[in-house]
Amino acid sequence: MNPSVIMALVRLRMLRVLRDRSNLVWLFVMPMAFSFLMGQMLGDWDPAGRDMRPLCLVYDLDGQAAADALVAPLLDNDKFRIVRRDTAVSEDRALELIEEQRITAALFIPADYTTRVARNEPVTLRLLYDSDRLSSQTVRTLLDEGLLKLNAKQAALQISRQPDNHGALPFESTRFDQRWNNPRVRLSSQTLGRLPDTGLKLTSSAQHVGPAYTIFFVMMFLMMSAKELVAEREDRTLSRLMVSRATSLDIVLGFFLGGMLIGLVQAAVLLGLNSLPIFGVDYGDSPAALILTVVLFAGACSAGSILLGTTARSGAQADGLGLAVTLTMAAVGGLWWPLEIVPPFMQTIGHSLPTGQAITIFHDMIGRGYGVAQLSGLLLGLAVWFVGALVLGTWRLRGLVSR
Amino acid sequence: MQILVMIAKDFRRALADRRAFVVNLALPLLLTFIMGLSFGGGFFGNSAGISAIPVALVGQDLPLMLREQLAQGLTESGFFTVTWTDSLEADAMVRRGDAAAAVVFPPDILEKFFTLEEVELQIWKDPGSSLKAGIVEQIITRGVAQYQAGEAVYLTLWPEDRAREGEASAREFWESEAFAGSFADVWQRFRRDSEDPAFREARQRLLQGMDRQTALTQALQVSPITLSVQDKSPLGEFEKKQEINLFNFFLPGFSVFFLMFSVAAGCRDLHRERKAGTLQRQMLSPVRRVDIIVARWLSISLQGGFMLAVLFLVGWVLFRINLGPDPLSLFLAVTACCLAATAVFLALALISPTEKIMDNLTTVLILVWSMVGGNFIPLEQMPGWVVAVGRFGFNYWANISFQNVMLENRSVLEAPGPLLVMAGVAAVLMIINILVFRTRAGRGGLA
Repeated sequence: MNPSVIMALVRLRMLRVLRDRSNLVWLFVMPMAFSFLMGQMLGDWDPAGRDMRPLCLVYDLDGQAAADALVAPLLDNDKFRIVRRDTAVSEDRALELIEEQRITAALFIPADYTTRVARNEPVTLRLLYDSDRLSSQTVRTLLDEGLLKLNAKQAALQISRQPDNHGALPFESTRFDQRWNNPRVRLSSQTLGRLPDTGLKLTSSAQHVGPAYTIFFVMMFLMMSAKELVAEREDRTLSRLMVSRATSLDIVLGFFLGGMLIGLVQAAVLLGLNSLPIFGVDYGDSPAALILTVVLFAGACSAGSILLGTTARSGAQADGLGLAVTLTMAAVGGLWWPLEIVPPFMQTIGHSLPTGQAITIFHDMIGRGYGVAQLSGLLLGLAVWFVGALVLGTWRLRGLVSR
Repeated sequence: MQILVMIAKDFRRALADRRAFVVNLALPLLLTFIMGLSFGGGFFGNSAGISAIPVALVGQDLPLMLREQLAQGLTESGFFTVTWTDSLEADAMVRRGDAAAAVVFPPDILEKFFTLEEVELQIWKDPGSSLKAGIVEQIITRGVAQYQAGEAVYLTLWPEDRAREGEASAREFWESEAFAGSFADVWQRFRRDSEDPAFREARQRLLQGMDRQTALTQALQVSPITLSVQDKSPLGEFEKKQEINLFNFFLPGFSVFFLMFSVAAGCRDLHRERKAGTLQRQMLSPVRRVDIIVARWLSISLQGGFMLAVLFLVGWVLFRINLGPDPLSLFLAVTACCLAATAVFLALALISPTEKIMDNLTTVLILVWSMVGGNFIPLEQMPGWVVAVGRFGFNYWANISFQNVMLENRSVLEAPGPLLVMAGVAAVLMIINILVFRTRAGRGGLA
């Protein structure tokens, strides 16, 4: 083994990657752009500080006290904002607005709403919404709660007015409100994790998106760079290296460490960018677990890239297979959607892949505050992928350069 | 005639790289297959998606019968798998992720319930399972809200019951001889017309409470204010109408995504032909320059159309996707999509100085367009500004067009807008492409 040859190969690989400016786009710009876009789509990031909340239009033809009371609980919500109009559009038009994403929901309050509520007469409110949107679902949930209260109030009023009211007191709204606001049976909830009750949503926010796209693009870049090895085979530069003082082991280690270094630099930069206040991702309390995860994953990808580069017969084939492997591992491993929503057997498959293991480690570090000891099983899984790919890649590459 | 010969030549060149062709066909099918395994639909049935949610219940003080019934009810709902355990183990289960949530009933809950003391139920949520834990929380919250509403009405109308039950004697009342033994014992005791004033008072209180509860239940069954809801989302309408096959979204989305790669590779071939000198030779031949570029446009579009046709046919067999209300609609959507895609990537090929630059440019554009144009995520779920940006990619209109035909089963004649946009994009860009190609004859038509 000749360290200077290995270092020269690593340096050469780094120089080739960095000299091609378009690589910088793939290494850093695209992952951050994807993280940002996905974060936007999932609705958690608002870096500009503008009011990005979707709009809920209330077509209030009543405009009186009962309508005010109905809308009041909806006014101060972080998932949507209310705009009241005293005229109404047709339902078709409102549905169009929802279809076009210009509003998240539309509530129609009829003109005689307050009068009917006062008379305890039946009245129907109309809500057009989009069950695919969280903001829209929240509007519906809050309205359901508000109507439950109103109907309970009406029920109390009705009983108190009955001749045989079983000794009920005359209805008093303030007493009812007091009971309503201070229920005897309460429900409290808390998240049992590292950061309890801070609104942490591992599977639906930047906390997932940042690490997920870091993992995805590290794997993608290294797998797609497998075609360089194919090109070196085709150009016979591998053979030329062999007639120099480099041994087959030097070449294998040079390729492997070069790829791994690229993966490590890429992951470090991306994770660092994601931890900036604008994105706000933190990685838990165990730097050792974080470093170990990144090293094992980058190593597994680099070794996998060698395996692919030595297996593919042409650059186009390496490209196609690299894309196929990356997209499949990302989809099954839970980088695109959380594994908790797929069936158990798909979860098992996902957790057995390096992508699934890596993203689960990130989730456990961020959410549960796990360290190396608690993550040992998943880290071992990553290590198995790392060693397996390295052994196979080394065997294939040594076979090629020894010929 | 010359154009036909050139189309045939380009087709043969494309088929020579069979592996790339197979990858372009296999990958969309593979990803759609994974979608099927993950979310169900087609021959995968509707059993996939969120599996039964593991929930830990803590309530050692609840009677065994009540615990069994609660567990049975929750399990039979099909949404939950239930484990009764103690608080320490429940805490560990949730922290480990073995349970998505734990519902903790406080000690002496039944006594507190009947004596109208404060009761606090708790939900402990798994940080790594926000969706499932959120579902548990939502369901429990709704149930508790219903109870809270009833009790708010009861105590507003009959506050003396709370005052009476809140006294220290309340516990004595429920623990008195009147309520000793099984339910049958208590019932028989109350049925007998005992002379004991204590029994009489207890019976009176019980009957009065029952009467009030009955009046309350009847009143709450009538809801004068109702909310009539209409869901815009086709997935939301799923329960009311018919089964929505998610493959009708996923397969066209992935197909258009890989179509872009395939078409870009075909257009990139112009650079390889220039490098090999064959492009220049064609320009020296009697063939008109406009024929060269038009033939390339048509042949790549034809290859793309063939690829989409194979994908949709396989999708129809494997995933039972809908091919639209009539063959013409799908044909027109496929044709417009392929012609527009080829015109776009030909323009990129003409303005790119080298094959490598074009390679990078197209890959970046394909990924960004796919992201904002609705190939991976339905447009309905994206913020308005992302959708607005997405409109600048032809794939946005292709996705809408396929969605109209395959997801909503509408004829293209009902909603011709997306089709016209794609046709317009294809026509305008091809005019520009022809002009650019002719003016750059000296450089093989390229930049």
